[in-house]
Amino acid sequence: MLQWLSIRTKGEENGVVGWPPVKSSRKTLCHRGGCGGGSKSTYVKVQMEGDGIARKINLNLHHSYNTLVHTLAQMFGKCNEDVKLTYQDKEGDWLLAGDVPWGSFVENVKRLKLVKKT
Amino acid sequence: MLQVFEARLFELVTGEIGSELVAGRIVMAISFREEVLEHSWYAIEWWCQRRIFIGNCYVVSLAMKIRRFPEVRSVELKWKPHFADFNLVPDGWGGYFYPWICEMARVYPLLEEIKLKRMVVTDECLELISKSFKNFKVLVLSSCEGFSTDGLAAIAANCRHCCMLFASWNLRELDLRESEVEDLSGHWLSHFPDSCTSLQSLNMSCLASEVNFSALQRLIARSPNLKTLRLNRAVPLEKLSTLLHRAPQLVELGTGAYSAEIRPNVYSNLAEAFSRCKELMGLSGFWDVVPSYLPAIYSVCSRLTSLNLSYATIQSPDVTKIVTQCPNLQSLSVLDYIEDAGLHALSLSCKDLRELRVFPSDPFVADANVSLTEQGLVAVSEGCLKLQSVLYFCRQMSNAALTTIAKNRPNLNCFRLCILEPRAPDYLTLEPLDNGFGAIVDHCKQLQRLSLSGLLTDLVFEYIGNRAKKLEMLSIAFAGDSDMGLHHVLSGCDSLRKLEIRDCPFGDKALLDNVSKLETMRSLWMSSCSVSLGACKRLSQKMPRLNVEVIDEQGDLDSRSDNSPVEKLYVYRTVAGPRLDMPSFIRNMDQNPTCRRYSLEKLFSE
Repeated sequence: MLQWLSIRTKGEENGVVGWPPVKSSRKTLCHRGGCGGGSKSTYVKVQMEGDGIARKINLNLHHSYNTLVHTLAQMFGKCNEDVKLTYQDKEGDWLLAGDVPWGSFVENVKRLKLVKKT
Repeated sequence: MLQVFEARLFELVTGEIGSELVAGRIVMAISFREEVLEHSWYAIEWWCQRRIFIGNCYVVSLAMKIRRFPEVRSVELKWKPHFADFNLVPDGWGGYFYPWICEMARVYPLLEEIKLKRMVVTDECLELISKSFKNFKVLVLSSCEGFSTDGLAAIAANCRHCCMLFASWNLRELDLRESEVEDLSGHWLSHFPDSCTSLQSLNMSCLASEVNFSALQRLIARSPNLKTLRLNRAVPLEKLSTLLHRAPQLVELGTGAYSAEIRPNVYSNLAEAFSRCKELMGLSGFWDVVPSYLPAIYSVCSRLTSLNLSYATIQSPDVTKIVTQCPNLQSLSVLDYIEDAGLHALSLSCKDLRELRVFPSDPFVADANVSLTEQGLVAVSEGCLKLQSVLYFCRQMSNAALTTIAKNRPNLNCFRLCILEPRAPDYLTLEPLDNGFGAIVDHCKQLQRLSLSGLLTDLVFEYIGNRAKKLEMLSIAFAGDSDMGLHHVLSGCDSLRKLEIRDCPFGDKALLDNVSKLETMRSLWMSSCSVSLGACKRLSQKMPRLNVEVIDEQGDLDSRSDNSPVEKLYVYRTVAGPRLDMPSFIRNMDQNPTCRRYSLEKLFSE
């Protein structure tokens, strides 16, 4: 297929740079799991500090900490300025959400907990 | 000489903005508004002084441009080659706006508009813009890079010192379309002072991080003339209705992420907010769509002329349901999730459609993930009589389909087809697609832009050279058999301005046999072809008014033999000689640059 190429430059999945001619903003779309048949679901459990009942939230509907906290706060009837979001990662550690880029967060989060700001 | 010059000016006057090199003289771009009544040379000259467009930044040197037109109000610069969009142009290639803005800040005090495409714009540039022009109104950064939200804060804030002197801040348009911005914080928006009420257009859709929502809300609320608002993905759907309530006069809206947990009050608020937007004619955004929220836009569908769902990962039935409610649609961008069925429905419902763009949902997978074939495009070509512009990604094509499309729609002026697999033949006959594209250029006599794909021999280029007389831009990839292909194009396409080629067996002979053609074009890009270093040097020798740039990241260009192939070649006409901002991996082939540089006086006295 590439017999004409005398010099091969490092490329993407299929080894050809810039083909198909799709801009980077569109490639991101595909890698974010938006492709292959509509939105997938990634449900994680979420609890509110002091509240025994756990809920579930679909992380794939969110792409920023802002929208996630806003939705979670509403879910528990709180104002998003009064709460902080923490999460348990794959290693079992509880961390404050917001320090790592969103993509890494989604890959590592096991469960969520909203705590009240003191 | 003067008659030729004036004749070309008339051509420009009635048509697009553009810049041409005519008999050694730069013709400035002209955008004609209602005020211009005469097409006389003096009127044109006056307008030239107000608005400058340079289609290739290296055509003229800074000094020349600046000195000639001190009254400039508007500058539009395009820089990197188009293939930069697909990562074929290495980082560090050039295109730095900083030297330009330094000069402009000094000598264009009346500057109101800056529009840049594919340039490197730093925060320093933005700060300089913000401080230098008291009447500054419009900033458009299209596919630019190199700046961060700190630079945007400077633009937003700049009225702070202006306001002390003038009654109101006049920024009218801030459009960052598809630029790459370093997102340091969302607070840049808060820098717009309360006195800024003039905003008409704000496009921040390319920004990744969340902006301060209350600052955004307040900005929108105090901008009664806001007509275009394109939000970024991080603006949550639950908050969209709040914004729409404050801007019911919007004509174009780009939503943020179109997803939320399903809640009746969120839906009803949204639907009601949309129904209040009586002027809305264009919609875009729609990342991460949750289909249940789509009916909220139904009340505006009948008015829509432009719809961009190309980020919406929704299935065919949902897409179809929307588009079939938009009888006035003129421009549609979608993912291939629409499938043939959806395109067929489109062809029955949207009789005013002028432009269709179908993007691939999964471009790196060989097997089709959706049922979208050439039939979808054929259907649209049959049903949409006003269709002029097509961009279509698909996995199979046939000569028969292309011929049908060509016969159906001889009014096409832009036809860009991308069959995902390089060198894919006609899937029915396994033959090359020469005849199909041949039919396109044969029937569509006004065709200005063409992108080829699939299995193609030199024959298709013979057809193009013979028939595509209005063709201005041609993109070729993985096509042709020999130099004759390139020769046909260069010798036949009378109107050709931009030619970009990758991975084709085109080489020295065609290039050197057509050197004078290259001076009538804006630019030529060739990468991974069969052009030798020696030929590039000979080309440069023969054509002193061309910059012949060889890009080679392997290093050691100086020690290569003349027989060795070049990685990438970029050729463009110039009156300024070699550019000064080339990195080490780019060489200009000009052996004697100082002798060949043209002086300003000589140029304008011709």
